[in-house]
Amino acid sequence: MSFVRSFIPKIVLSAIIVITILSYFLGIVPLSNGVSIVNQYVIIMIAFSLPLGVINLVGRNIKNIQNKRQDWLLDIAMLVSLTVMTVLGIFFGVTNTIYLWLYNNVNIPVGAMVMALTGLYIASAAYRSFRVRNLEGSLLLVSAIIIMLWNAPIGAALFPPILPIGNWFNNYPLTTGNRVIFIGFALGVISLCVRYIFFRENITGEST
Amino acid sequence: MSDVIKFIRIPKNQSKVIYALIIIVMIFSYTNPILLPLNVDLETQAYYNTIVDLPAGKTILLAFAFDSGQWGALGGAAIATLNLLQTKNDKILISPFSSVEGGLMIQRCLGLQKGGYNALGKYGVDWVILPYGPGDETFYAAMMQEPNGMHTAQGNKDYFGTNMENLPIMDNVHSHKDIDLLICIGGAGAGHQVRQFGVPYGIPILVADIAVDWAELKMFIDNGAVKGGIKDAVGSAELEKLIGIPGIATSTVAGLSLNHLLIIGFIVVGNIQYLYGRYKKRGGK
Repeated sequence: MSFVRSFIPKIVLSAIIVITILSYFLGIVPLSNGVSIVNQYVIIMIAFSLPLGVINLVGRNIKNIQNKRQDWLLDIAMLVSLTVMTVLGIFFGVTNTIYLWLYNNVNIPVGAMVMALTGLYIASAAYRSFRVRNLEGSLLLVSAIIIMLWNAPIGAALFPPILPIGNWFNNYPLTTGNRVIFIGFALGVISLCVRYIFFRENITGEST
Repeated sequence: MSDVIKFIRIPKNQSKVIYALIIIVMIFSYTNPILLPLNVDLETQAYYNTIVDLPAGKTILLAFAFDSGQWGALGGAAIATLNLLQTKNDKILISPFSSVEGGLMIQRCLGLQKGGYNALGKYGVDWVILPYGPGDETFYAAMMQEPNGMHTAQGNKDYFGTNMENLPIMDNVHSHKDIDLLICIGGAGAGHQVRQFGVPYGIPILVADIAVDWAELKMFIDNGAVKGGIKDAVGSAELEKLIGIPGIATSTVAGLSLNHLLIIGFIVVGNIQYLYGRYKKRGGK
């Protein structure tokens, strides 16, 4: 691989990491200005990813419809929905009555329904998977029941001590476990950044 | 004993039976809601107190960082927060942050608050809707770091395309120094907000989030990085109770109780079956 392709990206990445860290901790104005410029670049690139996603989606769906692949009728429905919402939004504005009606009466119920489907799967999984097979499984089962009762008003109504027990679970095991994950994640990010700064990490996808 | 096990045993196509039972319980709980007393969590109380105790005339950045999938969990919190803010005399900057459909969600919640769409006061003077900004955390950083970031990061226009120069509310809002409180409805556990608003600039933060993110949010509440939090529909119902205006969260929680009991019932039945099967395998009669 050429010098430009292998070395330049590493230098750019390393420089951005160093500038961002120094700007955050030292607050030096020229460095902060540099970080602001990088932020603007990122925002512009992400903004471009939105139309790119739409183009990919449309291209893929048109191919599926042309070849009459599985569920091609759903692809037609997707394209029609995309076109209607885009045309209404761009030409009639985001306060257009039909645009808002479609969002409030189609998008919100459908979105909420998709999320609610997980509830059905959780119930089915709870019936099949939560078993007192061993100590770990039993602990998981007891914790699940306590948290479920604690998370609904009926828990306290049926069994008032569930409140302090649930609070204890919430304040200690839950928070402690999460802190451990977060600290581990932060240490991982720091070590990765150090490797990027000293060119020890391959960022070009090429095997070293 | 074996007759009892056979009786409670869910047949082979068990998923369909489970789904059918949940749907029946859901319909029953919505048609016959059981309104049980709610205990207000410390975190919900802190969320409420922080808003109520904020002196009049302050500037609040209210972010709607959730989408239609989270409507059941956070819609109640959003509307209840708007109802609470109506009782105060603060300046409200409503932002969809990086939620693509946040702007539409804002319009929906404004329409559903007590008193209707314009209950927060005069648009452009008492409140404003800011536009969507791509880039998540990078967008928040641009918003806060720049000396005039509250204008430039938004492209100097509000959600409807009006120039910010024509909005009196934005005359005194330029950077992080002009934000007195951040309220974020949704926000995937508050990490972004703590990193970009709380730690660098000391802006007090309140977050309402779904139960899955509660473990992370709770951690930030405990260490003081977030002042108060709303946990899913239950927390939203608690906020509605504190404000005294029951809404969609209160009715959602009625259904939640019966469904949680049903899931616990499934776990118990599944384990009775499992233990009985193990007992039979070992030669028990």
